[in-house]
Amino acid sequence: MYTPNQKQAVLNRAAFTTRSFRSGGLGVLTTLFHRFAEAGEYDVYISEIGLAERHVRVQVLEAQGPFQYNLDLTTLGGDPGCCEDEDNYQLHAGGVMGFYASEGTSVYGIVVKHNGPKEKRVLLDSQKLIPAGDLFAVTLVQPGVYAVTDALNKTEMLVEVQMPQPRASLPGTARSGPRKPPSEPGESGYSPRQAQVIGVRKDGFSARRAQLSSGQTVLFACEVDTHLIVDLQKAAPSTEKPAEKARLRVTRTDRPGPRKA
Amino acid sequence: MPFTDHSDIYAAVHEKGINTVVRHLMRQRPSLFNYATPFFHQYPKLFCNPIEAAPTVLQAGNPLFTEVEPLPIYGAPIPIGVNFCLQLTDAEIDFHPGNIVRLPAELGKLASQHLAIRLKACVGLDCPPTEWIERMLPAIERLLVEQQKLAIGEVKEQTGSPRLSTGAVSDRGAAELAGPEARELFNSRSIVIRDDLGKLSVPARGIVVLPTRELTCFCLELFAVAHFEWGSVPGSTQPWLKTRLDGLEIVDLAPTPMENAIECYLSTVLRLGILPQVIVPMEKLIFDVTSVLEEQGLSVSQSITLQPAEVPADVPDNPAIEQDELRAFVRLKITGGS
Amino acid sequence: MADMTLAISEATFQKSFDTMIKNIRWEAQDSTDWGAFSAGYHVKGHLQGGSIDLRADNTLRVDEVDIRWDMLEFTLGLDIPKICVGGGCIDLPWPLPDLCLPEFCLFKADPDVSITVDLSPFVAQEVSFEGGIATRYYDASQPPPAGFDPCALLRDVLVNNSIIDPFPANNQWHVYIIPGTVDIDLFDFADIVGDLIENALTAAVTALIPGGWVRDLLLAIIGSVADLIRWVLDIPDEIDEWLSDLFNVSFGLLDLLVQVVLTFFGVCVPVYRIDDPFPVMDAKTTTALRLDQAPVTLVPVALPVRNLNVAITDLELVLQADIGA
Repeated sequence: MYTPNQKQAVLNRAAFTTRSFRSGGLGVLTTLFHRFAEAGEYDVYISEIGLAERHVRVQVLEAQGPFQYNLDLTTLGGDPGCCEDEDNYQLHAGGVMGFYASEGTSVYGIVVKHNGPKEKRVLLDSQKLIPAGDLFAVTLVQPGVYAVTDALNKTEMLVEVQMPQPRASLPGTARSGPRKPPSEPGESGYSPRQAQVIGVRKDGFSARRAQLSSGQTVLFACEVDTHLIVDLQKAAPSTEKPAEKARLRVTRTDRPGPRKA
Repeated sequence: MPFTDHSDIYAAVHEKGINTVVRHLMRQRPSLFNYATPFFHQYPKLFCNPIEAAPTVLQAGNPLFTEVEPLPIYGAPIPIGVNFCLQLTDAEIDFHPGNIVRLPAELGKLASQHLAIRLKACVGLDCPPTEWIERMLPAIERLLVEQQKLAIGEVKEQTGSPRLSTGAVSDRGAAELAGPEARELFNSRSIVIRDDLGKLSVPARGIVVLPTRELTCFCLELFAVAHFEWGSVPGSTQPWLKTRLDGLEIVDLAPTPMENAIECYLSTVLRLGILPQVIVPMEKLIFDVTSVLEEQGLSVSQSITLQPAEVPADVPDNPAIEQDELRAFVRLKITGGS
Repeated sequence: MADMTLAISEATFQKSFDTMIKNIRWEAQDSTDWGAFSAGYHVKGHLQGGSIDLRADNTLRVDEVDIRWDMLEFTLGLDIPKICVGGGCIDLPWPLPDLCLPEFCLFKADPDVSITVDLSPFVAQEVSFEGGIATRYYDASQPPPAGFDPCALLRDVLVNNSIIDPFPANNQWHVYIIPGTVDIDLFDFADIVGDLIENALTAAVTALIPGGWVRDLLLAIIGSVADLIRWVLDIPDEIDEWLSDLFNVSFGLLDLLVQVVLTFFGVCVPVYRIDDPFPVMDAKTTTALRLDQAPVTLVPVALPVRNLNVAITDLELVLQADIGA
């Protein structure tokens, strides 16, 4: 009666299969936010681990520019070669640039240098540490228990990720009116656009345990230099029932029945 | 009252339309209305009435008349004929109640369900001039003597020239036959006389057609009254539509007995010779709609035919001649399918 | 009085009409992109049945002619919106600015699904129209008007089925039924059609989604596939009502059908054709015209037809004409 004509849908597979996240190697589902506190010229070097480096320039202005810019590292151009025009960005002093990879399995390192009048200062080298004042976000998808470790300060915490309740189908009487797009909270209150903020301190995290729904984000606000590692320790059991094995029952008819006592 | 009160389809032709059709027929098939000897191919201006033909007829080179044999001269020792032409002009038809054709008193008033026909026939006949006859006469007399065909019987005197026969020519005899003025070239099917050669030969089938310079023309008016009827034909199981002649009158022919005799002859020709040829069987009047549609690629699951409405069950007369029209009533017969 | 009169009873005219009606066919296809979704159709159909009523005011009414769809394919494509995790904005204490988190989408590119369903078993419509009758003279010597051919839509289908001939080589009188008011049933799809489409789309969308906890997460985000479909299509309750509007208004299929009726009857296919001049005797070869019996081929005899007029009474159709001089 009907024929499906769909194109093959291409999953962002890394978003479902990544179980370990590091601030030292930015991959999918992680974001590093660096705060540019002072006005000036900054060089940002993005290295795809094992591959060539990209360079962007950030001009931080005293009284103008956006306060935030999120840069998708997978959208940076090809081999820059020498002396080509680099990408230029502008930010307001005190603004934040977020570095993230929307897809793929590559991991990236970020180096930010301030071009001072007399010297260049390295403000950030993400492969070594995240300086105090920066933030690191991880969006956790697979349900389970994750261990968060501050490798620099030797502290830990746990994050429990639960599968949210199914988004309730709208009841018949409520079928009028504008439809709600996906990603907005349904009747169950779940939305992937909700995040929790965890402080990272010398003596530990601001919470020992956090709870999230799958697809939500935990944002680590670094009050000290840190190097964060998030690992899935225990995946939640699958909700799918295993398929029943087919059985064959054979009954012999020639044997006498059990004797009565 | 609707036209189709007693039938599924009604068709009618007004006498004005019929007469227009006849005029078109005269112009597009002139050979049906004009009869003449082959001579007139070369001398069309000698016709009693000029023949008007449609451009398509002239472009196609269709003959303007039907060829007929010359009128024979009886008694001549060799076949001799004169040219003539017969032209039917002014054909008119008048349906009851009759307001176009004024019938002669002999035919009375046009009765109900009858039609009147008026026809003018013009005849042009060649009358050979005296000088031609006098020129031919010696040869005729000579041939009669040669052939011993005189009424008085056998003549012992010999004319001194060999007996003439078809194909045999005596130069000396021929020189006596024709004078220097007698240079005529006839139709290839007839005799050739040439005064230089003096040949006299008669082709196997031919007729000597006397040369024509002008025709004597006269016209007669003919009136007829007729009607249609359904009848049977022995040996046939289907009804036939027949045209029946009720009366015929030639105007102003004298003496009256001659007029009567000619009218009788013509009536007999029509009744026994021509009208029986135009009877139409019912099967020819049944139009098979289904077959026509199938030929056009349109399939119809039923058998559809058009048949004349029945007399007297459906209509009192079919075809009917009334109110200056010829009317036909047709039934649609549908069998089978859905 | 006219030279010739031909009257056809209403019942007989019905037969001519029946034959014409069952050979009216059409085919059309189109698609439109509405952004979030695309919709298209491929249709083939024909007419069947109906009755004709001649009226005393020189008009006729054709009633309840069935519109039979041989194919009514509907193709619906959905552009599945982004399904993403993360995102959202957070208030942070000074000196940190409020932060907006990037989203991570679960498909690399917006996936599309498309289904095609044949709705012909679910649609029943009728068309009726009123109109008059008119005669037109076709002059074969005049070239057809340049540009738009009103029969183009129908011509290929009709010529392939031998319904209409190419323009004739000789002049003709044409008698046309001229539809005026056309009444046509709206497309009205039953509930089952809505269910059919929803089930088909649901299956197509569900097939995109991997199983296990990933599916649970996706469904938690988008809700039911049915709700997603309704959101993409931006439709209220019933898909079948939305579908009916699509066919009645957006696709313009009603307009198409009306045009089919109008152009077939009023322009493309005369109900009767009469050659001018009208042949009454065929060309004939005869040997009777010459004494030597040489064959002669006589030209056909044809009569010029003038002043063809058609009138309708409540009982019959009457054609009258004169024979030209």
